[in-house]
Amino acid sequence: MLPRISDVDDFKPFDLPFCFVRSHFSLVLLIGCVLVAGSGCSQEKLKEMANSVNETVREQADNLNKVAVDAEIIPVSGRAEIMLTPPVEMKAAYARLYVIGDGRPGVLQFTSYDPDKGPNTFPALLIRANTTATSIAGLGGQSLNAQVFFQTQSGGAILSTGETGLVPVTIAPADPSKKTLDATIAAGSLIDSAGKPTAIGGITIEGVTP
Amino acid sequence: MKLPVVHRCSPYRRQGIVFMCVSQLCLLRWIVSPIVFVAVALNSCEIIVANPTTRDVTKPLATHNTVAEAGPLSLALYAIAIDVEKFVSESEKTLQAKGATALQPKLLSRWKGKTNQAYREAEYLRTMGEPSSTDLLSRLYSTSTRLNPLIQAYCGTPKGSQLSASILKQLQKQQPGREKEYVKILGMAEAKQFAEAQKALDKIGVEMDESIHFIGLVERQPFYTPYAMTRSKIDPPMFNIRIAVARKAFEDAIASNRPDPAALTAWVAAAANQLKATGKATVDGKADLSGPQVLEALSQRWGAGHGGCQRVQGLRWALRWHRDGDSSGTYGVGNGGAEVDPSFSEARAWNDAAITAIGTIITANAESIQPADVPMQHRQYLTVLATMSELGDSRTIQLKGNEALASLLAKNSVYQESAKNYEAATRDLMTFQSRLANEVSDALSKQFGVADSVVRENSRIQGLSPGLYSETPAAPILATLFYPADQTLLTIGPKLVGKPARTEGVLRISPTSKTSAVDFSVRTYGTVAAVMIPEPQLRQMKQDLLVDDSHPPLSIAATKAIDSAVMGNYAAVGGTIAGAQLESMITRFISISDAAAIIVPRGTTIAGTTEQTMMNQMAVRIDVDPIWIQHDLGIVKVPGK
Repeated sequence: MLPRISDVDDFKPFDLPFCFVRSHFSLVLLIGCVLVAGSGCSQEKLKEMANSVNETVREQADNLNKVAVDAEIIPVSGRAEIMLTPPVEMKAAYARLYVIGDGRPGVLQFTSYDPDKGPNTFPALLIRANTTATSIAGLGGQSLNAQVFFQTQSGGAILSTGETGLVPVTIAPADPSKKTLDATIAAGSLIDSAGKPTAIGGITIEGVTP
Repeated sequence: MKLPVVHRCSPYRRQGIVFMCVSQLCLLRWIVSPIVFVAVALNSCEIIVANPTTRDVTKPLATHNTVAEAGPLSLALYAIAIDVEKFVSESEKTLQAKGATALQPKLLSRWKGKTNQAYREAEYLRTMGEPSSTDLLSRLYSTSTRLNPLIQAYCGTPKGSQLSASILKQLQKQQPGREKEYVKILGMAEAKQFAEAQKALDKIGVEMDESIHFIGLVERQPFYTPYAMTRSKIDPPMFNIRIAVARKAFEDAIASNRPDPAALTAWVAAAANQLKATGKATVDGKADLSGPQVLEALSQRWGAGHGGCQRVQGLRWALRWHRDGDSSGTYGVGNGGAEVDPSFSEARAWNDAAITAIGTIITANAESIQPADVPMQHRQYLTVLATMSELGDSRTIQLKGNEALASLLAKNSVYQESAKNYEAATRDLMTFQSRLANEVSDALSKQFGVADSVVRENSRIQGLSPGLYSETPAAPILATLFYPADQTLLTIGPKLVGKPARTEGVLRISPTSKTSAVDFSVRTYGTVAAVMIPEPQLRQMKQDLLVDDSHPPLSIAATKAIDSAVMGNYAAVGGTIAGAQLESMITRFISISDAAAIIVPRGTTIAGTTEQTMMNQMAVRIDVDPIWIQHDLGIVKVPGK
């Protein structure tokens, strides 16, 4: 399990968890060798080498810190972006396939909110398409006709594909190494509740799969 | 000419004959099959029509007949009021056109006697808690007052002077006999025969009114004073007797209409035990009912009890007048002041018991159900729950329904997965579509004001022009009968007709009904010409919700969305006011049938007021010609509008 961000913030050089020692075994070994071999060096030289190693370790720790923070945001929560003016980025996204299995189509949904909690965090984006696919993996590379709803804030105006409008959503080929289903919607327009169109430069979404 | 304001005291402060027969409140309380239920609903709408409307302002205000004699008495008094108004208007024209000599003294005399007796009887009607009495008292007082200058004008003619002199002589001749009559009447009072005493006194009253107005104020005193003194010995005890009789009728009606949550819980427990054991139950004499059928029976009981709560509310308003009197306190027989109205908490308790019963029935059924039966019964439950959620607190009913249905679904894991995925696949779409519909509706609200506000703003008193609301918008006053009902509607009707208005909570009365009922809000409710969602939009909705003929919706929310669209039930309707009807609040709610009680969401009651008497509190029913309809999931313009 990755450390929590607050834990990462508290990291100090040489005060690393066991996983760091294990994954950076060669670096630790180098420090040990330097310390042992340095017994014949001058104190200044030894101090200089130690400082240098210390710096290297700090840089490594900082890099790890950055990796850990990025890992917390990107692979776990997904992301979505709708190219309005200015673009609106959503730092979480989900992909769900609901198979009903009684002869009617299933529904693929990309959401910028937790699908178990509904569109109650904002900005809220819903991309919804009927499909006959029975698994997320089977959706890779497909293009589906989707309804889109986007609301920037609670009680705010909604942009959508309208009552009967559908737009193609292109799903990226399935990548088994990723925990997301990625998709794009090309540049076009959405309409407001009065039917007035708003141009969008497209939508990209990387929705975390269950 | 300034129209008469409804006054609070009679000219003579008299009460009259007693009505000893008291009947129970005759109300439609049917727990029957949906078809009969619909028939009652339609019938109830016809009953509502017995009130003045913009099409016919002369119709009398309806009566609730808690005291059975009230209805015929009210109609008879309206007939007199209409006739005397016609006579007075014609006489006023005659006076202006041809002079006082052309007036008909015999008719002036007869109508004065008849009008004042009708006024006394309208006061008796008031003790029966009938708000039409307020209208009648106002109209009769007005015409009685208008008769006086006509009589005086005639008396100013040579023939009139002769008539005055002859009447004075006649009164003097009659007086010894009258004195004996008064003694006899007072004797009846001593013997507690107040009803007979008042009847005899009313007879003298008519004769007195036919004559004494033709002589001067000073000359009439020797004849009038002993009469008035006798009345003062008869009318107060008679008033108390009449009040006691009416009060018992009200209290009996409250007792028979107030729903009993404990009885409902016991009824449900008995049904649930059977469902738990065999999956079937015998309920209300009907054998082998399935769980969904028992739930349907619960819904009908729920509706009947809800109707009862509304009637009880109206009965309490009338009873409160008996206790507190009107705002002057003149007729009060008890302690005035604010009170906590128990009607709302009773309606809430009844509703809570019914909502709890949903869980009891479904979870009991789940214990005995076979896995193969789950899909069919689940869908049947959804239909009943969807209807229930249209009639009451939708969110709570859906929440409790879903909680209970989980126990049923757990008996068939494959179907459970289908239902769970269906719910997830349709829920967010419906949320966004509902938000979009509200956004459009909010924008339209600038053009289509809320119905009650539109009615209020167009029904204010303006100078001498009648209205239902005080001239000052800040006054904390609700729709009130300040002027006669016909005059009020004649003035406000043309202002209301054609105005755009938005009505909320629109429920079609039956699948074949041409009208839908609009929720009661503050002091306004209404009907809307039934209009259906056009086929393309309905088809799109079904497609969005993954529904076709062989694939029904699998969630309460989706079932409600489709069933309401097919039925013609809407969140709101905007349109123009095509007509209006004036009703009394007390009569509206005492007379409400179970079917018509859909105008109030289950679990609630309409607030009265303790700031003024409920006896003259009014409601306006508007008929709306729809221009747009707001379904839960979208707004549709009515074709051709």
